[in-house]
Amino acid sequence: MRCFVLLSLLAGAAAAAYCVDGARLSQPLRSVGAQSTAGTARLLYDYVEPQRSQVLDLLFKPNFGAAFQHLKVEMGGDAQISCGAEPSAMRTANRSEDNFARGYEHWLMAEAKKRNPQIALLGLVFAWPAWIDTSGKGSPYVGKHL
Amino acid sequence: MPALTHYICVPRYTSGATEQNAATYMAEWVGGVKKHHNLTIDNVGIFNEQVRFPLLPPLAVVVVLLPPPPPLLPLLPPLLVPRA
Repeated sequence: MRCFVLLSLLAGAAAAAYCVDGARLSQPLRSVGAQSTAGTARLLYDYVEPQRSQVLDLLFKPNFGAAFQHLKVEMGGDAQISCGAEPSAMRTANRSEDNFARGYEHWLMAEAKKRNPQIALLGLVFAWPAWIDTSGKGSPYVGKHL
Repeated sequence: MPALTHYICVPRYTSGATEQNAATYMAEWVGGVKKHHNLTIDNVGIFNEQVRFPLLPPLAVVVVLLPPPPPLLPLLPPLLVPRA
């Protein structure tokens, strides 16, 4: 293990040590992809055909355009996330009320998979529906649950 | 429920109800996407952008001092100068 000590020149900033463990550097960047979160792909969903399909081809078709290898989407949480809000598929703790037709992320993933069956799909949560929190501390992020 | 390729979601996992709900929410989302859209999610994760508040004060004292901009009048092209 190598340790690098970086001394900050800024007054008041403490020296910080960054340890790089060479034994754990075996996972390099494996793919180049896109992230669709915070409502950023909402405009693409509204494009008319054939322009919409042309854009999707340029994004996801292998050996053509950007040829993204993975697509990461937000699990909508019904909350404003910087530049937009995405609906949650699970708004209550009652699973019979789930609706996976809300939003457009599922559509985007399906379109990507249609063009590249090998594309990796990822999901992440930015905001949580209110029923998640039982402690009154807000979201699991704010309450430092995670 | 499809088998997840990797679990990278919960770094510090405890048994509280909120944590359990959060884990259930993500797992059910993966299952629902598979059931309703036949899409297999390869990875799940959480929000990883975090402001470390103890680092803010040293950054807050950085003030960039620039000299005042030069006056614009000498830079105007001669055509804009009114003629006598």
